[in-house]
Amino acid sequence: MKRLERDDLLPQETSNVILHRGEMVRPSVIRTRQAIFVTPGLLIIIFLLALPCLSLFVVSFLTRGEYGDIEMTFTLDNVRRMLGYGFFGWSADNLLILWRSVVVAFMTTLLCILLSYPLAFFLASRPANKRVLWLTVLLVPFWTNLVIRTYAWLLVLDGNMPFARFLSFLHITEPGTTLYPSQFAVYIGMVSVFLPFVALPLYTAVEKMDWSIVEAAHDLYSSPWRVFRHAVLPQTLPGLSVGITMTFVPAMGMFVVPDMLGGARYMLVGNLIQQQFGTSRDWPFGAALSLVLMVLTLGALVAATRGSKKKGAR
Amino acid sequence: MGLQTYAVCKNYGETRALYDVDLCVERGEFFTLLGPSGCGKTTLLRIIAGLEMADNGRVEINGQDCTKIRANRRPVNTVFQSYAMFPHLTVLENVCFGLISRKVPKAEALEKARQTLDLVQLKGFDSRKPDQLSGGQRQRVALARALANEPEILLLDEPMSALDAKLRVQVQVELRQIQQRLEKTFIMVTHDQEEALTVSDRMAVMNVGQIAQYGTVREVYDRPLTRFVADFLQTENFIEAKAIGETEVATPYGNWTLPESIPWEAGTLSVRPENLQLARPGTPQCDLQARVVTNIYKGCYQKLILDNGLTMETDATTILEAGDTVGVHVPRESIILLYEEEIQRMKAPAPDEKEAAV
Repeated sequence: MKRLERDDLLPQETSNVILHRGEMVRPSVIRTRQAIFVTPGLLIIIFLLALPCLSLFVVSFLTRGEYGDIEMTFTLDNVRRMLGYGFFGWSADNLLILWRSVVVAFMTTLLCILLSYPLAFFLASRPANKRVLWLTVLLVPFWTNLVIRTYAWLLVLDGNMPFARFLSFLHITEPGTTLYPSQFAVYIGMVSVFLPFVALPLYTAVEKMDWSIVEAAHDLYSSPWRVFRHAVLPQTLPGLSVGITMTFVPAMGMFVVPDMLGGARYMLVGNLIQQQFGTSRDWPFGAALSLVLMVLTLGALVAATRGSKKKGAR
Repeated sequence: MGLQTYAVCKNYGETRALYDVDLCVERGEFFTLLGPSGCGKTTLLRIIAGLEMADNGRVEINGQDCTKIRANRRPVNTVFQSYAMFPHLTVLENVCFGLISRKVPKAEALEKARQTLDLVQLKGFDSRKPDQLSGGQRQRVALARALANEPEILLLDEPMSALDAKLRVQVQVELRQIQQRLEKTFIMVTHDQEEALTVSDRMAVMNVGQIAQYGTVREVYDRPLTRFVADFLQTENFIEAKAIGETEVATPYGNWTLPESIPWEAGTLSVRPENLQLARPGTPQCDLQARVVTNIYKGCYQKLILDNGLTMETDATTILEAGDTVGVHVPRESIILLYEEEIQRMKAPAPDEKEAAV
C-alpha cells in the first residue's frame, strides 16, 4: 500500500491557485478575464483609430484620379502642394492657413485660460447649494447643437442688433456694420465654444485648493503676482493642463465656427481639409493635410507638457 | 512693547468669534493663547497676522498701529497648523521665500536660510521637496521659513498638533530653547494645557471669544479664578460650599476653615487631585473617609476615583484596590476659591492705565 504523503491530503488544485484581490482563482482565469475585458476596447482602437490613421498615411502619398477617385500611384505631390508649390507656381496660402490655425488655437486657449481663472474662483466661492445652479448656467449652451449656437452668434453680431449699435455708438465701427465675417467674430465663437472645457477642470482644481498656502505666500511678503505664481498656479496646474489639452486639440481642427463667422478670407486648416473631402473631392491632399494637422497638434502638446514639467520641477 | 490689541471684535455672521479682546504681549516673551476649539484663539492669531480683518478694535505691533496693514507688510510671520509648504519648491527655496519676496540678494538669502535651518537642526535636506519629508521635518522647515525673516513677532498656530506625542514633547523643549536664544516674541495658539505650561512665560485662557484669565503660567495654574479656567487646567474636584464665617465654609465633606477670607455667600471650591493626601482614618489629619470606586494605574502615580465624587492622585507605592476605604486629608492652602465667571472676567489693563502704571 502506498504511504500517504502530505501532498495527497491537499486538493490538487490548491497548488496553482492564487489569491487575487481577496479571490481564490487560478491564474488562467485571471488571464481569460483580462482578455475578455480588454478585447472590445482594443478592437475599437485598432479598427476605428489605428487602421484609419494608417490608411490616411497611405492615401496622402497617392494620386487624385480624374473624377475625384484615388489612384494607386505613389507621389510626393501632396507634400509639395502643402508647402505652396501649386499649379500656378508657389504661393504662401497653405502655409499661411496652417500658421493661422496654430495661432487661432493658441490664442483661443489663452483667452479661455484668462477668462476661466476668475470664473473658476467665482464658482468655487459660491455657497455649495448655489454652485449646481451656476455650473448649469455654464453648461446650458452645450445642450444646443454647435451649428445652431454659431447661427445664434450671427444674429447677435448683426449690424442692427444692440451689440453692433453699441460699438457704433462708441465710434468703434460705422453705423450698421455687421460684425462678421471677421477675426473678432471667430474668436468670440471659438471662446464661447471652448470656455467650459477650461473652466470646469480649473474649477475642480480651485475647489480642492489648500488656501493656507496662499495665506503663507501673503504672510511671506509676496506681491500678488508671486502669490499667483507660487501658491495658486502650482495647485491649479493639473486642472489647467487638462483644460489646455481639451481646448487646443479640437480648436486646431475646428471648421464650423471659422466657416460661419470667419468667411472665406479667414480660412483655417479645418476648413481646408473639409473642402478637400467635400467640394474639391481631393482625398489624397485632404489626407496629407489631416496628417500634418495631427503632427502639429501632437507636437504642440508634447512641447506644452515638457514646458510645464520643467516649470513644476523648478 | 511687543503686541497690544484693544477691544478687538470679530463676528462670522451671527456667530461671535471674538468680543472686546484686550491683549498685551511683552517684547521677548513666549505667550500662549490657550482654549478649547471654537474659543476664538485662532481667529485672534489670524487677526494679528493680518490674515483676518477685525470688525472693530486695534492691533499694535511695537507701538505701531497695524490694524489696516496687509499681511504681506506686517513684521510678523506665521507657522501654519498645516505647515503650508510650497509643494513645488525645495526645502531651501521654501525657507528663502520670504527673503526673496523682500528682494534680499540671493546669496544673502541663501546664507540666511542655511543658518536658520541649522538653528532648527535640519541639515542635509536642502534640496528635498516637502513631500519627501516626515511630519517632524516639515514642522522644522515651517519654523525655519518663518524665522528666516527675523519677524518682530512669530505666530504659531497649533504647531505641534500633527506630531506624535513623544516628538511633540521634544519639539516643545526645542521651541522654548530657540525662543530664549533668539529673545524674540512668540505667540502660540494651542488647546493642550501641558504644551502651554511647557513653553510659555505667560498665557491667556480663552472662552467663547473672550479672555477668561491671563497671567504667568504659574499664576494661572495655581490660582484659576473661574470654574471654566480651573476645569480647562484639569482641576477635577469642584465642591459646592456656603460661607458660615469670615474664613469658614460648610461643604458636603464637613466644615473647613480656609487661610483666606471668603468673598461670597455660596460658591464653588476646587482642589487639584494631586493635592489631596492619604491620611490614616481616625487621626486629626483625616478630613473625610471614602471608598475607592476605581483605581487607575498611571505608572508613576495612581488615580483614585472615590465614592463621594472626589478624585485624587497618589504615588503608586501604596497598594489600594477598588472597595478599600481610605482617609483623605485636604490641605487648606491648596483649596482654590472660584469666582462667578461674569463678575470676574480678567482683562488686560486699558492702555492709559498701563501707561500710568509704568
